[in-house]
Amino acid sequence: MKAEEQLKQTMQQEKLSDDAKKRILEASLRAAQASRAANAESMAANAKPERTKPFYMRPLFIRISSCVAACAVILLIVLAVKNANSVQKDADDRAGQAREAATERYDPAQTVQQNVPTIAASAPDSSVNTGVENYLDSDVAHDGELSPDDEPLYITIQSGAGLNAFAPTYKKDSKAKFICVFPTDYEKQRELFQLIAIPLIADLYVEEPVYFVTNSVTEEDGIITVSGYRTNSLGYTMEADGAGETASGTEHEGVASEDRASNGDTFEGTAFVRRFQKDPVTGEYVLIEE
Amino acid sequence: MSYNRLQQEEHIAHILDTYGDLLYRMSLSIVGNRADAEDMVQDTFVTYAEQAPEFPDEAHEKQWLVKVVRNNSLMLVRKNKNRERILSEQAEISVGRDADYGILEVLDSIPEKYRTVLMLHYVEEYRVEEIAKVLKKSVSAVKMRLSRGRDMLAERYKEKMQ
Repeated sequence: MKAEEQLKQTMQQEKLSDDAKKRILEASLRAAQASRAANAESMAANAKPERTKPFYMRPLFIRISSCVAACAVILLIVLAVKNANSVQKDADDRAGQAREAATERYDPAQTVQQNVPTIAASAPDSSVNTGVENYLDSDVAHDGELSPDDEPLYITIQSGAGLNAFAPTYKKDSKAKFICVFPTDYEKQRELFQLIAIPLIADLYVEEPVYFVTNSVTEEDGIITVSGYRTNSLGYTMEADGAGETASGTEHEGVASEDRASNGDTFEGTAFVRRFQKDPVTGEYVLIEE
Repeated sequence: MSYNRLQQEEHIAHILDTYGDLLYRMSLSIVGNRADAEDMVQDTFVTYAEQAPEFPDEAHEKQWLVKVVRNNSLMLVRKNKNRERILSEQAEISVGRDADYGILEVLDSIPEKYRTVLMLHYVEEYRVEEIAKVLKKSVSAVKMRLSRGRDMLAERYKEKMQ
């Protein structure tokens, strides 16, 4: 007999006894019962009452709050963009206005029409060194000298005494290119000066960019007469009001004649006279005589 | 397979009748004494009752039982390390029996990996493919073990008989 056959024959005689089977079955059944009991106990222990989710954990609330948050974010973005555009637009407007104003500052004719700030000298009976002061609608105040940044495009001075006080401080590279010298009774003629004299000088300056000294505006029988001088130097004293004549300037007492000569300045001014009449239809003053 | 209590008890009794002897012999070939073999079978059925595993068919159930009893037996052997007991118990096993229990002594002298293959193939009549599934080895490996184990058994049994 082969070994494997002998092995089979021998081993097949080995069987579980009935007692062993009974013992094994009982043990298995006890184990099964204990397992079921343990499972039941575990399930009972794990069986918790159904908890109600708080409102903020409910899906509907989460969805709605998400939508609201998204809308709020979008709204904030839109508002921010709008605000940025508005700010940019304001900045652009301001920049445009500044550019426009700067451009106009170099156009005396237009400047006069738009009430560009002016500076008036002191009254004739005031002390010489009172200086230039804000007179019309300028916000700029000066103490005897003009600041290049604040300097207006034209200067109004009340009478020759004011000019005497102002001229030594005036610089040739000043932005103010023409001067209106008012008569002593300026207050009576203020409207005429603003309506007629200043625009007139602005026009004249465009044609001939020199200094204009306007020393009288009179009205008689509806005719407004503007008289003054044009000159390329301010270094002389106005001695008398006049119209229709050529005035010879005298050397300013505060400026040495040698210095003036070395600068190539002349001291002569050419008188000018313009007469206007009010148009009854349009109400504008029309030039009737040069 | 899902059972209620009564069905589970009936099923345990049924598989004990069906596979009890097989598992007992498997364990006996490893642990070398009846008492331990019975304990290993009992442990296997207790595990089965506790876990109540579900199988697609009886073949898988049989494989599971064989694997569990084998693992339990091997763990016991590793734990006790007193394999010399088998020699003293051979006389007890052979008392009153007709079979040649010298073959068990020869079987015990063979390494376990060959012993199990020999037991499953020649005693329990498992096919090589089934043994490969139980042991999670390739068919060729099982065939190799079967061949070497058979040669060892024959050679040592022949020596013992001489």
